[in-house]
Amino acid sequence: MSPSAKSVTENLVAELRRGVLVLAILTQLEEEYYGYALREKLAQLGLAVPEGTLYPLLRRLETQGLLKSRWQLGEGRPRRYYQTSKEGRQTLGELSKEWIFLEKALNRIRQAD
Amino acid sequence: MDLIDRYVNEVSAALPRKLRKDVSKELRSTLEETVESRQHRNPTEDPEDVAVAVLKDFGPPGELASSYQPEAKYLVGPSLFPAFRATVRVCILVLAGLIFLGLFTGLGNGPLPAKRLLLGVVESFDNFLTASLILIGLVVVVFAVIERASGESRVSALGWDPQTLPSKDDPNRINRFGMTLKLAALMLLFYLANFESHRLVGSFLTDGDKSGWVPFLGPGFRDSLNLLNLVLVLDITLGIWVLRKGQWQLLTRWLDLGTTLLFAYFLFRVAFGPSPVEIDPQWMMQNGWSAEAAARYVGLTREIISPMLAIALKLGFLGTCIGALVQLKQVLVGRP
Repeated sequence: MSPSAKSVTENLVAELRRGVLVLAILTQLEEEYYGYALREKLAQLGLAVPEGTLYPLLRRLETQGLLKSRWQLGEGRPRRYYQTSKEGRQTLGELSKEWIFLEKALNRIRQAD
Repeated sequence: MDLIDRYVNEVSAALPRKLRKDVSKELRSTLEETVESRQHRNPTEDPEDVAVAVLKDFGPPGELASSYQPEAKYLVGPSLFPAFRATVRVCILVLAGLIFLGLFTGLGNGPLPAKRLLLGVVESFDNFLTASLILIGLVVVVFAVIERASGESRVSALGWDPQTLPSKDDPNRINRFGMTLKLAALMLLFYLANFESHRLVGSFLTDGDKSGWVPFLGPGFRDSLNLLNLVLVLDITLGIWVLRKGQWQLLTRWLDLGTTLLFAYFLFRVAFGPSPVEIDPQWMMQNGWSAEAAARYVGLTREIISPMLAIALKLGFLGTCIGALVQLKQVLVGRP
């Protein structure tokens, strides 16, 4: 594969992963996590998220009302904990349906080939 | 942890003020935790190297900061950029032409020593640079205004109805590129006529050891400036309105005809009234020119430049009247 084709593929893979990331975050954050722990959890489950991607995305999802957050300022390091909001759970339901639909459609397309 | 401090400071500086404190706090906490965790996994690794590796994973500060605000904010957006680029090019060319013409009008008045010729070229170049910078800045402001003023016409995908698409030969269809260029030209003309006319309308003149830029603005120009401003403001307002609507309507066609007629009246007044270009002999003498030189150049302007300009203005008046008739036909019949 030529370097430019490799770069195109890498970009497409990154786009694909970004699309899935929101679904993964909303699902995982049904339980409360702070950013670093969430990243570790997702990596442990097989979805490695680039450092510079996760934290801005968490902020955006919070701004959109899909996540809620709180600071925990007890002993040790201050941490911001995130959790899927009520609105976020509704969106998660819709996204999950869409995901299942896309997966089935893609499988049918592959089988048709 | 000095590197982390420096990184957080850089990211923070590139963030909107309202996000800075909160994002910095979270980012610092996350970075420290990530570094600690990696050090824990590789205790033999140099802490500085670990911090560098972690920060590389987070990416350049500017890039990280921009991902906190994904909506691009354009001063001049992609849809207007081709017109913006074309306007800048035309402005620079016209400006260069005007200043070149001004220089050679002056040079045509007899023999000129090399020193003063060089002085004239340097002064014209200085005028060109100053006016270019002002113009480019102004074009950016003009397009930023158009970008915001015409933004409403970009309907959302939900409200968009394909049935409203104009047919290829629909007379009410607007040429966005052309209209944007026209709007930019009108705004620039407004600025130049009101604030920079002395720099553009004039010539580099010489008399013995004395040489310099002399503005040509006569009473005809000052008397008609208010009328020109009225025409320009009406035309600009109408242009923005049409851009926002996305197509011509009967009312905007009539208003367009009205502004054309008003412009024709302006041309008529300037062409048949006192000359818009005239050298003020008092101004010349106050600026170190001799009375003879002032009289000579005033005469030259009256005998050559003013009559030529009057012919050009009369032709412009005639062309505008023909344009108004074409517009009238368009309004009444619906076709150009």
